[in-house]
Amino acid sequence: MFKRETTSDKIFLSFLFVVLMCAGFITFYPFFYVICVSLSDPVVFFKEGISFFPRSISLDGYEAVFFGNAIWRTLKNTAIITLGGTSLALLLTSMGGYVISRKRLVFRNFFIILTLIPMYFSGGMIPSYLLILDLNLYNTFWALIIPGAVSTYYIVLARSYYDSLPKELEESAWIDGANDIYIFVKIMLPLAKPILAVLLLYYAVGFWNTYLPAVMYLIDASKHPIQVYLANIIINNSMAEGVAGLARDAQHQVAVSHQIKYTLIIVGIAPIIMVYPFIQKYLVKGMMLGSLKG
Amino acid sequence: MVGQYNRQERWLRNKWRLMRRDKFLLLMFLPVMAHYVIFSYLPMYGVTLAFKDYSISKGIMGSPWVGFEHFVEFFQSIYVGRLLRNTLTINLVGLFIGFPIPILFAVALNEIPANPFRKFVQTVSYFPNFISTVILVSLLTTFSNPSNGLFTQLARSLGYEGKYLLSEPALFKFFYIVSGIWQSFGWNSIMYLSAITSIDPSIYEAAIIDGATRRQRALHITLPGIQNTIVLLLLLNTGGMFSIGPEKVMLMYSPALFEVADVISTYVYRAGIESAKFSFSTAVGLFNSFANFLLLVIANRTARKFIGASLW
Repeated sequence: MFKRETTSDKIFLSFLFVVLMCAGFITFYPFFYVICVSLSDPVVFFKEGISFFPRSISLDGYEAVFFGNAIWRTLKNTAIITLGGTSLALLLTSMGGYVISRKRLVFRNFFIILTLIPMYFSGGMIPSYLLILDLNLYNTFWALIIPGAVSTYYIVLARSYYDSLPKELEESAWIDGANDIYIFVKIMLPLAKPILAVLLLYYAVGFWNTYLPAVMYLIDASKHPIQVYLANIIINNSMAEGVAGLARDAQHQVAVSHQIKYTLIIVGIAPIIMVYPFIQKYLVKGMMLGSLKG
Repeated sequence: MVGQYNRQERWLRNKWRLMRRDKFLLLMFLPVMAHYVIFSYLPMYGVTLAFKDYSISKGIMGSPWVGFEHFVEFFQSIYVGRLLRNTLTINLVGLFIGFPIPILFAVALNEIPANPFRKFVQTVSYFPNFISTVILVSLLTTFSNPSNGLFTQLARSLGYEGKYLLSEPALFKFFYIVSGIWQSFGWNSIMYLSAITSIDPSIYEAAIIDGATRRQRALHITLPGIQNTIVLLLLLNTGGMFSIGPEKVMLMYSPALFEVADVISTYVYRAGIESAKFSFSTAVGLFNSFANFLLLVIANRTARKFIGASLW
């Protein structure tokens, strides 16, 4: 296409370029900074600070984070919640989305409305809390896993996906005498890998990030998942085990207790950072699927 | 023969037949339905607590009705003003500043040809959306550290003399709103970007032939081209004016900051979970949900009237 860039165009483009650079910088730098701090020598960082790269590299921070039992117990709890929750959620959401996508389903409109109403109106925090108490789920992991296992938004996503599959698949299987469970498990699920990948990522991130329900329902500190552990140390200033355990002297202890917060942030986002470049396109795809409805 | 069965019986028999045909589908949906009934609808019934005087021994059903007593108590309390003020201010200012940003970001991205730089900026800008609230507030906390924090250093160079930025009442809403925008602007731009790609390219070509500059094309073609998406999202966001979740505020506030930071949901949390005033807090929560619901319905009606699109 024949097009001359006028001066006005060049100025505008440069302006936009600067805007994008700023956007990229402010979303990139905080994480880069925290990673560098976590790899710094604690005492050096405490005395001099850093701007970009660590002044002297040291793994003291990570040694302190992983010292002692608390962090491992916490990670184990988080793994249970995340894996358990995601599996349950995937099962329920993909089944629910599939069933609703079948246009012939008896009482289909009723079910659709059933799933839609809670998106706009809910009982609220207190009735849900009392329900968990009444169900004897208080102080159990189930209180974190079960309520979050079904989300109408994701059921709608799954349903849109199943709608996009050809009708002939179901029809020919039906003619061949297959029942709905067989069709779902043997035909639909294998084809649903893209949407299952998207759902898996969304749910997994959601469960990994759980904080408030954990604070509300888990009384034993030994059951705390990672976000609660992080919040206690970083925001509420309680002491991490590794700080006292590894301290060489008073100054070192102060420096480590200061730096460990940065290191813990990295631990809190490490799984997401590591898989992020690979899964980013799935996350975006999920977003686009969801926006098609609007 | 036909006269033997009336309409109702025929309808019933038909439903039974369909239920038998769809029995496995219904079976598969059963756990999902149970989940909705137990975790979504049962609490809705629990909302009746707002009109009762709950005592644990009597349970929900046995507790006596007190009508709107709790609502009156709430609206007469000294806190109602600041709760409403904080909730609405945060949302309104946040909307005012934060709403245009993803749009501008999307328009800017669109003008740059697809190259590694653009891909990098996009990828990096989506990332903050996936960090937890705890991590977000942790970043704020560590960066505001009085001795070494990034923000503190920046503020000091601008003349700040206090100790801890996050405990400054004047700055609470600023941090809350700006960190929220930082977290979501990239991800929210996706919606606009995909709307931009559906604009007819021939309009651009015609404009170029007519001599329109990039700036003019962006202002007069791109923006109007996505105005439906913009209006829809604007209405949806306005519908959420009363809605602020307690988690982030709870992680950021302290009793000293209640006057500027306390929002309706955090008050509900303290009154209900911490002080066990179950009926009262349910009433306040119900007020919140109801206001939300009302606004959302109005927003949806408006959306449907103006652009024929809506949430459902």
